[in-house]
Amino acid sequence: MGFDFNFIMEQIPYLMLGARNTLIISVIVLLLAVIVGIVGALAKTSGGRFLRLITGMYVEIARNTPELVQIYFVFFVFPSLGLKFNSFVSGVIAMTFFGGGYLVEVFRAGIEAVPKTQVEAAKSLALKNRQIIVNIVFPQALKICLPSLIGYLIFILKMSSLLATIGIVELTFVANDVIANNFHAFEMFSAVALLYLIMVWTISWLLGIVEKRFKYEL
Amino acid sequence: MARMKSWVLLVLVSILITGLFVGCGKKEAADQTTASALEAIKAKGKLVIGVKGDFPPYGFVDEKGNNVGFEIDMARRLAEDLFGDPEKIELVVVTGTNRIPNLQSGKIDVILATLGITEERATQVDYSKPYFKSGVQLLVPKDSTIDSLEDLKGQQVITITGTTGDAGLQKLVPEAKLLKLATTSEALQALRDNRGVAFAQDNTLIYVLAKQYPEFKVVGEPFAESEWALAARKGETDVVDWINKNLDTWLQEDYYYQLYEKWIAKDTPDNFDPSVWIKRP
Amino acid sequence: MPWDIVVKNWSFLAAGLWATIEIFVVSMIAGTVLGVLMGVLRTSRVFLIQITTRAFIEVFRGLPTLITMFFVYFAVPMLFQIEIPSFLAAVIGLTLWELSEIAEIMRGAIQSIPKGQVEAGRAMALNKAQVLIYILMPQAVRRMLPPLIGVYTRLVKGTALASLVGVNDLVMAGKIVVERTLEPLEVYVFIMAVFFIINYPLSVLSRKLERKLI
Repeated sequence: MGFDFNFIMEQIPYLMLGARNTLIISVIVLLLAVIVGIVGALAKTSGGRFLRLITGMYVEIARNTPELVQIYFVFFVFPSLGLKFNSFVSGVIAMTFFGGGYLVEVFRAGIEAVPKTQVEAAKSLALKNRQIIVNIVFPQALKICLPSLIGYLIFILKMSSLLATIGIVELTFVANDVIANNFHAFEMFSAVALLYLIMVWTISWLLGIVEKRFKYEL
Repeated sequence: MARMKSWVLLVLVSILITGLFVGCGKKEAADQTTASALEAIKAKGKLVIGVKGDFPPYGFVDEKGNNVGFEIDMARRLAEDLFGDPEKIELVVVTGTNRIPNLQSGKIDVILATLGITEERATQVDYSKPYFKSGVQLLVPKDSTIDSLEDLKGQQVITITGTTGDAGLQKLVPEAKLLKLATTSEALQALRDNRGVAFAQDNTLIYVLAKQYPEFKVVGEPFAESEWALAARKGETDVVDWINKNLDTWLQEDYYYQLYEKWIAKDTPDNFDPSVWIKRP
Repeated sequence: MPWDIVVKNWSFLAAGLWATIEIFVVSMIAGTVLGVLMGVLRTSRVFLIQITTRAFIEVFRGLPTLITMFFVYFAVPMLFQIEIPSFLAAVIGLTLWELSEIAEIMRGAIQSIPKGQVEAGRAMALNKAQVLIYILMPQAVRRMLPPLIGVYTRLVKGTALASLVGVNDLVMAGKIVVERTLEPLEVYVFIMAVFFIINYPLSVLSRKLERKLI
């Protein structure tokens, strides 16, 4: 019973569906987490005391509790609080929650990395606070954060494998689904592992390029 | 450019490693067709049986660490028939995944571990007569109007990945949308949250759940039925014949019903008819 | 009454928590020892060692830990006809990920130490092992500590995956209590609180050490 290539060939359409969904979910989650991250970072750097406290608590809970339990929380606990979402929405909410928690810190660091003198210069030019943030601090912070963001896409992509547990048809789900009925665990998990590695390595290759280019520009 | 090259190398190396793994893959265990397989067991002085350790009440481990259950009692009676002593037995705990490989490699003589008869497996082992019949039924909330597979069309139904309920439903009601989860606890929680109209699962589990949680009931005719049998290595017909002789005797004695009373009856709802599962004389 | 369910099912949940702690401790030790070893090998000048260790590290850092764990739990037993119990599968899966992360941290730490120090050490007639033990390691460990603790906090969270290969850990125990009691809110808040209590001090420590270094 060596490696049954024919079996894998038969499963390719299903595997591709899984890989596609994994990518789609990861990108959606990254975009939403970026929004959460930016809002959180602004709250932390320029919000009032109360806002800073709330954001801080959110970040700590998001980062210090298991991602799997957070997913379960949205899927199995929310309904008892009157909030019922389907598997897909539940998964996206939970992943945005912990992804956003990490990105708050990334963007905060990015904002703080923009030299203070620039803000002061802008102030002396009588720009409003909002203008300073939107036009001066933000574009630079985003540039500083870009490599980290790509890194977090890898993190999110890997974590999306947990969504199989709430019935979302992504790559890990496909593997479990096929081996449960047809065995061939070795072939399936090798194929799925290879697909994950191709995705992850491609992203980190892109990351390498971005990092290099930015080194010259900064 | 240099970076690109090292990536290519990396991929090559990982393919190589995978290749190594495949190379080391298992060799097919040779079919040992001996006319006197039963004699060999007798000579060994004990019967080595693969049983379940996590499947109450059929085969499980009690608080004291002993293997007990419906199938364990059967196993001991086989040893008693062969050696005149129910203790001349070695129970090897097997799982759904490794029970057939364990049999083929000679680690165990016989499988007695909730093994359903399928065509695919029949090419790998020799089955005895069946001793138990299970099927998939639906667990629904008490006030539900669902009562057959027809009612599931276009509805979301909860299953556990890879179970007979999962596979059977896909075949019989492809119009149903499946929410596939990993464990019974999760499936029950999802049913409670109305994430699906029914939970399709083997009736050996469903009736126990219905007894345990009166908010649910079991509906529908069993489908995707499977008969459980013992299995011996391919070609060891004398072992299979000997097992079948015992099974015939047990049927006449109504022994299956005694086992049902001892192990299962307390977990089934009132007025439950055990002939769903076992044969009676 | 609040926490009623947790109190009533305490012994059950505590058994699960104990399993979680066992998994954490065993993988932490195994992953640290093997990770440091792998990190040293990774900086080897022998090309073959360099490339194989790099491939190993890239594979297990790149894979979702859940996939590694499933591979160990489902595929390896079929391949080699051996039995791998749940607990072991969870530990191996977590360790393979963790040791790769630690090896990468180790490599970074060693390579961040100026070459001149190694040469100076060699000039003082220290051999390779002595240079590694007396010059490189003490400095590497200092630099490694904050990210190392970061890996441990991720490992603590990763133990939750053990429930998916059938270990009766805290998460699995919680699921079963929810099935019996119909009270998901209290049970899941409890589980999150337990993990938070373990992890929060670790992450505070990691940040403190990091600031100290800067």
